[in-house]
Amino acid sequence: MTETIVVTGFGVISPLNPDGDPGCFWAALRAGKNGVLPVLSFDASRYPCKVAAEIPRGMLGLAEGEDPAMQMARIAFERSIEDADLKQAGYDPKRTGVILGTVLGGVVSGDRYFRVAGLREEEKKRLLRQYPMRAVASSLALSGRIGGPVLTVATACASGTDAVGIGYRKIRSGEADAVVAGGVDAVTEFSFSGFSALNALTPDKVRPFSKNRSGLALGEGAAFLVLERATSATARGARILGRVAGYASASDATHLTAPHRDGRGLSSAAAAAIRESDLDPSEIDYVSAHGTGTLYNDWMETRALKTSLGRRAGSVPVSSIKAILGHAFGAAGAMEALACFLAIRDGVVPPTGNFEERDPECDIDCVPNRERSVTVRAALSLSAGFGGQNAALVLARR
Amino acid sequence: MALLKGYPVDPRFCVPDISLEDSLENARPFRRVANVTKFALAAVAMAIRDAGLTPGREDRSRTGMVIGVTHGALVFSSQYHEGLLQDGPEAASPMLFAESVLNAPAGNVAMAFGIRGPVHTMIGEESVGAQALEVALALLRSGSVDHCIVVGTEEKSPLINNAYERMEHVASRAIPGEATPPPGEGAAAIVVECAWEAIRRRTSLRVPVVSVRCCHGAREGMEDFVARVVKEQLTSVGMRDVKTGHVILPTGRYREAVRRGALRGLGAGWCGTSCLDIAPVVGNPFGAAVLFQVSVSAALISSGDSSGAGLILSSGIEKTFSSILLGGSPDGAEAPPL
Repeated sequence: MTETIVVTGFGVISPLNPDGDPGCFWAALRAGKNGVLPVLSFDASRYPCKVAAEIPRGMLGLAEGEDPAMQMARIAFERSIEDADLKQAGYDPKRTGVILGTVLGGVVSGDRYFRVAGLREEEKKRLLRQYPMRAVASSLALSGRIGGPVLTVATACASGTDAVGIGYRKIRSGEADAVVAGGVDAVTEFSFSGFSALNALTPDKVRPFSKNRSGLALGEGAAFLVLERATSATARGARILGRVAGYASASDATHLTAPHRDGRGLSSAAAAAIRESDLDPSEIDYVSAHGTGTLYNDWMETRALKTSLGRRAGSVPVSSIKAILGHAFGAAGAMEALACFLAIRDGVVPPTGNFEERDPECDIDCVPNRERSVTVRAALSLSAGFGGQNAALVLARR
Repeated sequence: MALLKGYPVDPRFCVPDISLEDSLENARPFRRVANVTKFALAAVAMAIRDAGLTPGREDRSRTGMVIGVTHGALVFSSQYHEGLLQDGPEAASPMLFAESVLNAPAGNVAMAFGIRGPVHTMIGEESVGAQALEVALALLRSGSVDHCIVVGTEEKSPLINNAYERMEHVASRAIPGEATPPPGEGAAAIVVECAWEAIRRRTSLRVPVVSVRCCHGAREGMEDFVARVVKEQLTSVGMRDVKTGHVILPTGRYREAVRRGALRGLGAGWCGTSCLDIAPVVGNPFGAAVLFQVSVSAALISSGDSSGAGLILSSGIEKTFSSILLGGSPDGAEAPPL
């Protein structure tokens, strides 16, 4: 029989909880508190969009020249380890891993390296060390004295979901005993300008599944989940948040920047993850949508849900926390997986914020603007991204 | 601003201009992609052909792909950055931005060959190809795919030269024997599948993948660390002291320490084994390195030029280390790959 893989700790830092307090994160999600505000980290006056969901840099406690993504990751990573009491668990460091999803890694350092003239040589070296995407995971592994699998996954906006999924697989296959998996990304003008050039950014608010939706807003932060075997977690008396019941990913193979119109890859990933979980689609009580608030994503996702959940797609609560959290890229999937576990724990699903007008093409129950009490036995967390990437996790009660 | 126009371009270990017309039925959609993507497209076309994966015959939703990259499309990324800084947001090119995202090679290759299974891009040092192979084997073991294409790809960029020289990691300035050779570029791809699947397809089995080890952040000295890991790896598959084979040396940093450590870790049966160094031919192709090494080792084994197993070693500046064991088995029969 296949081992059950459970989550025993988490850490998260986001614009809704810039101090890293997980209680604030969940309370703000449930309340639909808007984190998308005027851009702080650079001058956005030249762009049609002037909003993003950011963590004020002053709250990160950055050392001089330190990359904000590195620091966000460190805060969430250390909290997840504390939350799981992982240091006392007695796992062999060589069988403990870090799996990180990121889209941009240390791009803030790269941006500074290019942008600022007259930097001292030592500063240039520091920026170059922080710039590569692999640097974040390496730094976390070194600080956590972790010597098992240390992987950086770059599957665009599905990176965080894939990181959790790959971590789950590493334990299931016996390659690791414990894995800290999650994602990180920071807002930078580099990515902001790119999404602006692609006409993907909203000028004001993110309105997933609304007829008048106008695009996404950039977000940032980090989230990590500690995964281990249920038997080991129980034996050491760890608190269990829930289990990862299934994971799958699939490629659209159609376009580099646009999703397949019928959500072919996403429905395939969702169906495969549900199959792996051995649950019936009727047991999925909540869906955390990718829900970027772009025209095509939300259409595509609705179709994918209809394909993978059948009739249930019309009645299951589906929400997008990106409405208020922005799109945190590599961190998004991990934050959304965490939201699913908290929904399972508390029997409450967070709302889709900023919902204004029903779109007949998105005829799903998107939990508009108010949290809802729902007994959640299992949740489906969906992600999609550039390059036709799609990933799905099924997360369930113990 | 520290822009790249003044940076020297190192002409060594470059791939000459390639045409995708020979590799793809329809190369037109890919004519403006970054070199890192072009290399991957060409390598995957060759690997698919070599493995006999006929388009339209296999279910491409059961084919996966894992790509290993270190730096990705840094030329496009730098150009995009320069345009943004010099000319403002109006000059930001959506094409350059989209093609500079790290998983753009994977997205393009998936499109070109209709790969609809799991597609992952792993980012890491020179050993990232071994990590990609590990993830691919896990996809096979989990039953998610029938075949998985493993790719390593990298392109040269003036920024890479500048960065590694500035950090004193390249050969001209680093400690002899510990340095990384000058950056190279290119791509290599292999197809991995369960032996029974290859037999079902009536395709020839090239070489079994016996074991993959990926380690991070050696705390002891690199030589001792490598000796221990190699010894453990060979012991775990019962291949210590059994067959003389060949060792393919790393293209990254700590090459000499890795060589010494590996020779210490190998058992008596490996005495006199040949150590091959591909760095003088390809430089340090970072993300492509391990797949280059695997291709060389597989060719040696499958052609009979090497009678035993192949041990493929990789190391990087952050003291990452990987070791892949191909071919050979304790009883002389080919070990099942999974």
